[in-house]
Amino acid sequence: MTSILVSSDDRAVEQSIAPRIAKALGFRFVGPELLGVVAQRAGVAEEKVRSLLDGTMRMRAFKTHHWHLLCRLQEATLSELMEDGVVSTGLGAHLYVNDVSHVIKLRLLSSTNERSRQAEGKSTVSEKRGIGLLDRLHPQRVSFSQEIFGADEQDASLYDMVIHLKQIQPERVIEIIQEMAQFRGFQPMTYSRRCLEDQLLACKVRLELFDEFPDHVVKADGSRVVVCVKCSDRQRTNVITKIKDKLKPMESVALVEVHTVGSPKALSSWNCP
Amino acid sequence: MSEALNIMLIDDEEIVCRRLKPAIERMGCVVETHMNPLDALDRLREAEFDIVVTDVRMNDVDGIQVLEEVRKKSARTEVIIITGHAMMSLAREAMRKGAFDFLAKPFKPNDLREIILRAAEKLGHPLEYVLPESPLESKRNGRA
Repeated sequence: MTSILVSSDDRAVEQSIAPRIAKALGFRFVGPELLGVVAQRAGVAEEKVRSLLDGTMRMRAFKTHHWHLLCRLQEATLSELMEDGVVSTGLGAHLYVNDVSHVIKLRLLSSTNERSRQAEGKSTVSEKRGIGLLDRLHPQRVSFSQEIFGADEQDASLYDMVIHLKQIQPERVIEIIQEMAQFRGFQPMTYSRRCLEDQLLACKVRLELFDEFPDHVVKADGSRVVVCVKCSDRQRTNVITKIKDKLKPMESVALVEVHTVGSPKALSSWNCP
Repeated sequence: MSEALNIMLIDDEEIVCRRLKPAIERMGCVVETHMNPLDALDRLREAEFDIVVTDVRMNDVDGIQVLEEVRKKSARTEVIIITGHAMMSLAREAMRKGAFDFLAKPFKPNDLREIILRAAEKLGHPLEYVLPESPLESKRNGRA
């Protein structure tokens, strides 16, 4: 069975339609309540987890503990997606679950009026004011998704399907998704499951590294994990040994490869061999 | 069709055929290997196979074409794609065209065996074969 990530420019639309899609397909629904679970595990307020996804924080405001919390959210979401037949919304998964062919990314566009009303928190907003407001919010949201996740949330190519609710009613959307979920190209295969497993394992490894090695890049390929960290030449041997000792006991890890670089710039441009 | 499952393995790399043939035969299957996909297609026209395991990037004919030919000839035969150049777009194309599964190289023989077991189940010809435990599974079980 496929899984479906529902996102929208209108949170109310996501939370209204996604559970209905899950019910129609007989799928499990995983929604924003997971934010509370992640918050509890991390010992922080739920609002702190929610703020990671609402688009108000820019990269320069993201500290290590924000990245750590975001990684916890990613790990929790990916763990839920390991079982097929999930409909998920409200967790930002459309921005960090990448290249998994059996996970359908669906984008629902609501009307300008609805979006501006929600943005203003008012029941009525003039069209001119609404358009002006959205013109300000739109680039903010694009910058947020690009800086934090490396993906433009407003880019249609990020999604498998984009539906404008001005033209197509929610009931029809659900019928369309029911049909789409049957497409052979969206069925799970060993390769797509492995892609998801790799992403989950990378998250788990990152969570192990955050305390001692906050500046890192991790790639997982099956049971092989490749880590790149920032450290000085003097520390290099010690750091490599520490990381290998930390990661080798992990359940799904058979091989650990550690690379070191000297600067944050080198880290951000590092290409996994 | 004979009792043992008939499997054709197509890969232009000799080492792949050499490693995988005995690994699959251990499951009780009859395995025929072809390094030349054109020869494989000729053979597929002569005889019916339960499962075809094919590489994608080969000279003359690629694995997707093999998949299409097999699907035209026999709706029953399951095709498993293996490739060292896995991409989501290729995987989706293979699945759309009727592949049973898609596996990226490198993989362990157990990975392919597990898929063959599922394919055999789907064909109504389940195999009495138990997958040997991998080193990772031993690690997990040891911890438990």
